[in-house]
Amino acid sequence: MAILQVKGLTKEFGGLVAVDHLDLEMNKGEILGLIGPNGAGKSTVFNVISGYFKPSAGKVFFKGEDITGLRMDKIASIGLVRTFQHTLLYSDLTVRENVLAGLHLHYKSGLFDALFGFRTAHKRTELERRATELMEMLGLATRSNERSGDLPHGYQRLLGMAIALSSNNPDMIMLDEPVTGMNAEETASTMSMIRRIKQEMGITVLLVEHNMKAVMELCERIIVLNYGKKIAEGSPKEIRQNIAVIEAYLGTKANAT
Amino acid sequence: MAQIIANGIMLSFLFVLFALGLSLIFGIMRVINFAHGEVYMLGAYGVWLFTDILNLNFFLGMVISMLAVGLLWVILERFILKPFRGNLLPAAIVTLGLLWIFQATMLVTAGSANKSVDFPQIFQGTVSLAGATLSLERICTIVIGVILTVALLLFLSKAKAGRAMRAATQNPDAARLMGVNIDLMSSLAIGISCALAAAGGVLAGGLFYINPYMGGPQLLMGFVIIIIGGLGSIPGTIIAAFIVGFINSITTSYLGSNYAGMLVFLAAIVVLLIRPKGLLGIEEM
Amino acid sequence: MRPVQSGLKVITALRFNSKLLIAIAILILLFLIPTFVSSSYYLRITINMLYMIMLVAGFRLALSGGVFTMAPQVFFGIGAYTLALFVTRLNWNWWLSALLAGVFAAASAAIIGRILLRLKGIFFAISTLAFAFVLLLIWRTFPFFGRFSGIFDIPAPNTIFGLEFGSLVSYFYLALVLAVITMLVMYRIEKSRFGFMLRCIGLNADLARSSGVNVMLYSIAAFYIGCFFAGIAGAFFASYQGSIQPASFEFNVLMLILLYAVIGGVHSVWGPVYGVVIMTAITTGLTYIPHYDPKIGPIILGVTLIVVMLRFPRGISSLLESIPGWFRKASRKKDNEPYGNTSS
Repeated sequence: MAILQVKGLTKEFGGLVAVDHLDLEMNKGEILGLIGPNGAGKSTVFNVISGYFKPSAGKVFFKGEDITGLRMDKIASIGLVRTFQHTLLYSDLTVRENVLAGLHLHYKSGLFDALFGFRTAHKRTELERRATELMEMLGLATRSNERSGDLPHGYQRLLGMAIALSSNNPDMIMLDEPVTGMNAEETASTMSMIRRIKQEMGITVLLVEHNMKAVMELCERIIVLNYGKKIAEGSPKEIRQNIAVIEAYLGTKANAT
Repeated sequence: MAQIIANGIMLSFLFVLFALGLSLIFGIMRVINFAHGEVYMLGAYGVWLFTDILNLNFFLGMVISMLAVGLLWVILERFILKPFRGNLLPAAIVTLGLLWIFQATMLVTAGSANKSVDFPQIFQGTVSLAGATLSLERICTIVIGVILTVALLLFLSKAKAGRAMRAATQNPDAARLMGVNIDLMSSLAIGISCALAAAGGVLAGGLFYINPYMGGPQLLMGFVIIIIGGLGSIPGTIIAAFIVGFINSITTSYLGSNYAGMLVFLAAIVVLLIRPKGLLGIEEM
Repeated sequence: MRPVQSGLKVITALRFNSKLLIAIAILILLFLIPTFVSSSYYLRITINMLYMIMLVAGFRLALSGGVFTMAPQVFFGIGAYTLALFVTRLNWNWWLSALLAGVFAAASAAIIGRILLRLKGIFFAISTLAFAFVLLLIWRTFPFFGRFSGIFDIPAPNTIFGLEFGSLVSYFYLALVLAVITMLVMYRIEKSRFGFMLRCIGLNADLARSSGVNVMLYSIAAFYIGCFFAGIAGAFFASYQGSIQPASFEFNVLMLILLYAVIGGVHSVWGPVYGVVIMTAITTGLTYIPHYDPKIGPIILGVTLIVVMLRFPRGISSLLESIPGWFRKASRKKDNEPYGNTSS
């Protein structure tokens, strides 16, 4: 069954059409890459699906449920989480505190409990344990007491992923430019982390990325956007050879800086 | 009737000159300039200095005052405001400090007594138009207001720097990515904004009076204008300034100036209830 | 042997709770202030500080949850007017009215929040400013609120538990108790999960949302709580001053609140205290300079403000709260003798 279904998604910003009747489907457990030149609408698609923006038209279905226009926190609690490219951490808090914040969803909800329930020791140790688990998996355990804003950029991205993963058994994670600006070594280790997320945790991955090499190596399927429209879809090999894609990139590359 | 309209237009332009600056500063640097009223005030004292003390021509004094105030604030921005760019609250506090410094300085140096400047002799007179007597001073003010506003609008839409500024207002991050020099934009923005506010102060000084406290009421009106027009929107600011200017003019004529403030605030609330972002507020990304 | 053993127990207990000890010591000192400060001038200044701390603390709480308002001064006013009206017109018990003042302020926050909180950040802030304008307008226009002259002859709190109120010293103690309660609540919140989530929201609201946190709920709660305390402070103010006018709740109060909050440091729960105390100390201290012309006061304040902000953008609390760190470093240095124990 398709875990994510996007039908006719359109997003306009005051006359400017950022996303134009996009159709998209993802199957459980796959890694899908969303690529396209600057301004193609990738981030917008991302932001609409995750609930940061409301779409102008179209529908989004997650695990069969209609999530169109829902609040971002509601969508996250259903199991669709995301990372951010900028402002991705609670930079003043330590690494550990960042992960603990992400684990919020494991707490009982309700304000009264929040004000007076912090002392439930047993729940607390359970969460500390989970936090340690996550930090270890992402290679952050040794830095758990460092101020997250001081971390090297690659580690910050990993922490961003840890925060997203810490929510209540996410079924799908959306990664916003996970390896942009990283060096070869960082890129490689992040890529293997993403593979582990898919393989060990069974989480479906949708990513937006500019690093072509990473996208080709990592993704099982790729969708190419240009001017808000889907212009190609297929396996990395198919995309590499697709002329329309090449043209779109050449076209904008010629005009870019 | 024509009197009210003329007054309305005149007041509106004074507000436009003031509020545009406030809007620009917020748009580019995301800073609320609590000291903008003092910029206005400094402009007025500036022209007084150049005209009364140095006996320069009024218009020359105005230009020099605009340049001096603009330059002063470009320097201030560079050293005092730049560290706080994007950090709304500390920046606001710093402008608060500047407010106190400028107001107290003028109080101590120039005293609290009202001063005034006059428009050049040619403008000391009136003209009859459509059954109303309009002072030449006011017409001159309107003309200058129009010139400056149009100049700014042209700059923002035609000049490369101007368009870059608009882009930076809409989305500073995207603008930076496209190669816009934010430092330059900020300096430009504050320089222009303060020069305009200073011009407003000069004109107000010529029409009304000058004292260290004249900035306060202007700042309040400025905030209301921004509320009504929508933050970050230039056309919105202009429209709102006109609305406020006319409300002021109409109520002052029929009800007295005490009630002008009240109605302006009421208008702000009405607008907020219908369109919480202001008339033309930009969509927050 | 028993006295020594139990004595040791107490000493160990005290060592672990050294913070508690310091807190108790400070509290005792505070309660003894009227004994060594007899001048009413200084007592008034202190009382002023105390209710300002309440206002700033409330403002800071909301701010830490991501709610930046420009209206704390009118919630202060709502509390004041509520108390004044219930006590002078309806002859209600002062204590009940004061509680009601806090509730009304929080309720107003709820109403205004409903309407305005769909706006983000700065839009919301400016719209709260509009709200403040309107409220001042209402107070100035309608005879019900006494128009420009406001409400007079507001009596002191009713005698409670045998304590009589009306003297300056009694107001001091009332203010002290209220301020202490306020800070205690703020401290408890800070340490609770609610406080933790609030800090996260204040740091990065979008990230919190993406983790499933219903940001609105937490922010609103912080806003209501902050306004409640502003209301209580207002109630106190009304009786303390004896009369209230719209002029007491204007823009300039907002600027002071902003000033104290930012100078003290908005990221620290004690920031309000630092900010209020230090700035008041400076302004009072200035009056001691011989031939001091009060007109240059704002210049000195403004310069101080800018200098402090440039050096300590996170407020004085960042300086003060790093002091224990100096002691720790110093004691560590002593342990590291050049040829001392090799570390394992």
